[in-house]
Amino acid sequence: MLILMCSTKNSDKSEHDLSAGEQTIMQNKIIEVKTVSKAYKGATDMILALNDIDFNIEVGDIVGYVGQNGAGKSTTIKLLLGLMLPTNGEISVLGNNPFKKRIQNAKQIGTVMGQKSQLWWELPLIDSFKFLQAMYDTKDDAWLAQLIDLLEVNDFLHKPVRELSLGQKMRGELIAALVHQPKLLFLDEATLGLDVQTKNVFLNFLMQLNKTKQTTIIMTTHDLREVERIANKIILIDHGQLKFNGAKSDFIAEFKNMEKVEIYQSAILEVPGLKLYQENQDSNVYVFNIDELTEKQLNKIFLEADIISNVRYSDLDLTDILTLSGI
Amino acid sequence: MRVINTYVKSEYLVRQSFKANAWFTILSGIIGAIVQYYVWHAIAPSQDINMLVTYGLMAIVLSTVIPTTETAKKLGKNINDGQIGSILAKPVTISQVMLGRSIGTLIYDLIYKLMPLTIIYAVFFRQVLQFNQVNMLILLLSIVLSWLIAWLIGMIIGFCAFITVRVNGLLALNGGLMVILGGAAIPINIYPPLIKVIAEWSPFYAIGYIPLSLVTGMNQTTISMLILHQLIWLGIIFLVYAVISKMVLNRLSIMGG
Repeated sequence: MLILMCSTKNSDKSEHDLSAGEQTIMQNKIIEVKTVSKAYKGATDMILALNDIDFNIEVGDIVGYVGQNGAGKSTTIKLLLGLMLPTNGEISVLGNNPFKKRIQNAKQIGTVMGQKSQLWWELPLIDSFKFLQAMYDTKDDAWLAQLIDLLEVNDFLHKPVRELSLGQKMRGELIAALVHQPKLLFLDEATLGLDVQTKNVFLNFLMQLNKTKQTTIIMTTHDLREVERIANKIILIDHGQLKFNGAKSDFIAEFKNMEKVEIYQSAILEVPGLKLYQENQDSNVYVFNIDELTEKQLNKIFLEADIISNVRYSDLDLTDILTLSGI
Repeated sequence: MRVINTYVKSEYLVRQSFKANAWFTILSGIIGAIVQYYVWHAIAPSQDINMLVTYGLMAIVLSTVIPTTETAKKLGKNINDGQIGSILAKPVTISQVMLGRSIGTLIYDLIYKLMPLTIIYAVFFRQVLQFNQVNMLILLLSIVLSWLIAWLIGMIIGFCAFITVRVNGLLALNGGLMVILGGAAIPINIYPPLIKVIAEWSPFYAIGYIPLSLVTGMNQTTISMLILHQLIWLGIIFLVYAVISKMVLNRLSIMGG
């Protein structure tokens, strides 16, 4: 949708007539980060939160921005929102320098920060939506009604926010981030603490939003199953350094020759090529490289040990891959 | 303007959900008035009693709408809990948000605190109230200037949370200076000459004493000079605010919001 809008608007301009920002959007890049570093002043010395990171995000991407606590995820989001300046490097968001054009960009950006609220705590939920509509100068009640329906908030729409459960509140936060139909949505640990059902509603809605409105979504989360489920791209960051930046399928493909096997017995097996990965209460999980050790060979070993009925094979998921990568 | 309006309306509604606060403020205003009345009766020369009691009561009324403490506490809290990052993710500036909130609070306080308190004073202290003949528009202008200076000081103190983390100490200092140099409890014209001169050179004088002296006629300076005094302080405090808010934005970039 964004591409169409820009194409129409600039259809009579040649590429040379366009500003750098317009060219960026024309090239489909909604975010460009070039060799960006960010250093903070610590108690005794400078702390390098981000170190020379580069990535691009295209219109319509759903990006899982993944890393441990303190890896630099929130710092990146603050830089992209224009809340602070990078120490080095260049950032372009929606074709603009986000720090210089913070207010202009904010009109096209939605944010949900898991630990912070944009709702008015003391007032009914609907009031927050109305105030945000006024703030963004939008009167699209049909869109708001659609959001309210899709995220199933009708039952508590007139309750004060302070009386809502975490799940209800987070659905409200998501609507609050979307009342103005932003082109870019940042979700910073937005699903933290949500129950399975609410998380499901949340993720289904995000996928639908991305499909119908081409909204670009950047999500940081600790639950890699979410990233695996909805993201098409992964940016992996560790101690401020970029470890991976590309398609989710490419990332997972790097580990396509690895499998895991869960054996329901407490004794730990010593088999060459089988590496203990996780110890559970009733079972142990091992990983192995199928180029070195096949399921057939393993089955033979398990048969001899009389544990073949206690074995379950599966592919590695994203969580396994990141754990095994040591990130 | 749209942003400010949004925050004016929302803050007014938020205040309405805490009406008990207004009742306690009125109760405290009544107790304060009784204290003022009996203290001045005990210590003041008989010919000045009515003027001094009027001054004391008007000081209480004015204090219900002076926004310094409220503004500083709110801004300081938003800075400390990181909520400021969430606010700035919207197409707003900190000053728009805080001004809107403070005006919303002001409207609520005018309706639910200042008006009832004024009516109570008018009924129960009718015999002692003694007002100066002053143009209402001039008085209103003076009160608006006083409010703006106090609001800017509140913002400056709030911004200090980036450095001091807590702003309670600064607010206590501000409160003390308002009492001594702003004439928030005792009229400045009865101070010893040296303290009186110091007071006259402070912004607290422009916040408190000037509008109060316009109401009670306790000032020999011409009205235009008093308004000019307030305008100069507004200009100075605005400059300080502009410098500090710019510094804070740089600080924000260091602290990461």
